[in-house]
Amino acid sequence: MHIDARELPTDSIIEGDICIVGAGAAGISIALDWIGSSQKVILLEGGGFEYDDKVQDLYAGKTTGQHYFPLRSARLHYFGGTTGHWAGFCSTFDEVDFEKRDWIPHSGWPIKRADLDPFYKRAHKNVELGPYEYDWKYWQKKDPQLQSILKDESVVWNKVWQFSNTRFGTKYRDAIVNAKNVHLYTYANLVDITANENVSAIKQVTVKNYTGKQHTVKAKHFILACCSVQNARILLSSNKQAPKGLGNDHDNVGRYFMEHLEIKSAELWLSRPDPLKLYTWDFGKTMRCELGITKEQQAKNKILNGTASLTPLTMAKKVKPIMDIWNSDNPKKNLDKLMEEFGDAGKEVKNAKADDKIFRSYELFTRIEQAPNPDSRITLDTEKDALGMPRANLHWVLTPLEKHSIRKIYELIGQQIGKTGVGRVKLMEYLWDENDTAWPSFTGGGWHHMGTTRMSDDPANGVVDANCKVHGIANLHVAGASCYATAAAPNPTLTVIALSLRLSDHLKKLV
Amino acid sequence: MKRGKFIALTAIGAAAVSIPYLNCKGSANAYDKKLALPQSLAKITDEKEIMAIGKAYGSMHKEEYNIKALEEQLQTNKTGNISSNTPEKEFDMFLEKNINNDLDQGNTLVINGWVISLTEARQCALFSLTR
Repeated sequence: MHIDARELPTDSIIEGDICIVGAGAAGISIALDWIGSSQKVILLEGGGFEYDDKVQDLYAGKTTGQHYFPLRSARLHYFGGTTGHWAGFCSTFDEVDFEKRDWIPHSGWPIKRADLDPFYKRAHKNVELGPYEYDWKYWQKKDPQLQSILKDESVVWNKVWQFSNTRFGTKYRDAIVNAKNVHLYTYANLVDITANENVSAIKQVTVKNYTGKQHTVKAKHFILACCSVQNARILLSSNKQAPKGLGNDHDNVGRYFMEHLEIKSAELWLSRPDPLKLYTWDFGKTMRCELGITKEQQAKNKILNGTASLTPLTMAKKVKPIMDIWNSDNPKKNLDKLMEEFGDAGKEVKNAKADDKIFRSYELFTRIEQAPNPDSRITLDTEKDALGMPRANLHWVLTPLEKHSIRKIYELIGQQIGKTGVGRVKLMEYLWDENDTAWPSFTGGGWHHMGTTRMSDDPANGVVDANCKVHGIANLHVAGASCYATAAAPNPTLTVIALSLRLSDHLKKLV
Repeated sequence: MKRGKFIALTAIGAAAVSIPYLNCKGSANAYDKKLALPQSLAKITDEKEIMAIGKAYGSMHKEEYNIKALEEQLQTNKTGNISSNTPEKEFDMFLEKNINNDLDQGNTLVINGWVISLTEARQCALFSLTR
């Protein structure tokens, strides 16, 4: 069922069993999981079914610290969320990502990778991926042209990515709208949360829209599924009963903001051309590998988990740094610029033969977790948005560990490539001096916001527990990457969905 | 010098030094040229780059930046040594094994960005002194 909250009489009371705030990958996945149940599910979406610039403006905010994309255009604010333009890169987190690693402060989750395994398999269906297979040799059996560049995988290994084209907004609109027990309210922006007297449970939330109308939503359980920046912003600004914000007794809400550092880092030079089909990406391709570092080598070298992707150097050199492309407040303009850049750059490669010299050199591009850092954080700004909510302020902070890790990753890859005799690796100049901790201007992120309501068994160290429930508040849960204790290397969406489905299963036991 | 031309010249150089081995005893020139040739690196980069790597290594390790010291380092390892009398195949295998051992054991350096083995770095240094 779909209700446009702009059309309701103001001060309407909306009641249900489960209230999901946010209809992106996390919120929609949970709602789909409840279709046909006896519970009434309220799904609140701030925007409508299409992009609306006035709604998008609610995401605007300031950024300080490490240079970042404009917050206004870093996520999409309508039904389907950022899957409305995502690239669909999916891979699973590794076992090591969940472990406490002595060389990474604040690392360690209260759950293990094995706890997510069954949910990853289910998440695959939501994003319409191929088989739940992350061993590259499985794919090689289907296509013998997929050859590894490595002699063995004891130091560097082939980590599989799969690619989704699923736009949640279009794919799941009918399923949600036609579900009898799911009540989707569009143009229903959460602006406040009201708890009970001792702030141990949530009573209701307030939603607003541009018409000036305001409504109240009551439910037995509430799930915040609004992305890392907005989840933190909502908890921090709901401060009329808890002065520091809800769930923030230990000053953890908004802290530990993490991004994936995405940055060109090195070049791979081969003695003879090789299209390296296992590693390169193109539209329509269903999988590829990136070069990862084994758990043992991460421990031995005390580094973060990261991977290197390969793009023919000729193509990569034609593409401007992502920070220079994605610099408008308008996400649509940014996307157009991005597609234009990649489209032109890819033409030459697409038409090249396998022995073309274009396949002698590759750019090695890093995607790496950042160390959880309490100083990297979301706070509230003094400026308010059009609905009266304080805007978010992002202060993104990196540490020397990230740079040390990137350098070491390419040393290890360079050694392994050297051993094969097929070529050599050359680091970019900003990585030459191991004592240099400065970041170049083209340092970018992946638009992956994580960690602002991090998971920990200990309320002093995190905002949610292992079941994504906010510590100290009986019926408030958080879905999404804001629950991540560490960021791992892969793009976050597949894990967001897996974690959300796990939360959904947990809630089914409670109601 | 362009990479293609450089590869051609290094190939000719490698072939040429197989005869001088036998005839140039006492003359380090041809032998050093062979010893100073990082084969894998030469396949992917050019003389100018190898020269620059060699000089950079030399500036970091001044104590061994002379022909004699580099020769000593390059022609000896734990299991044996090579000399100007070593047959070419054995000579090549000796250097290749040293390079692979370096890469296996993480005995590598980042010089001018290139991740190379210590043996190759010394070869480049010798290259910069002998060319």
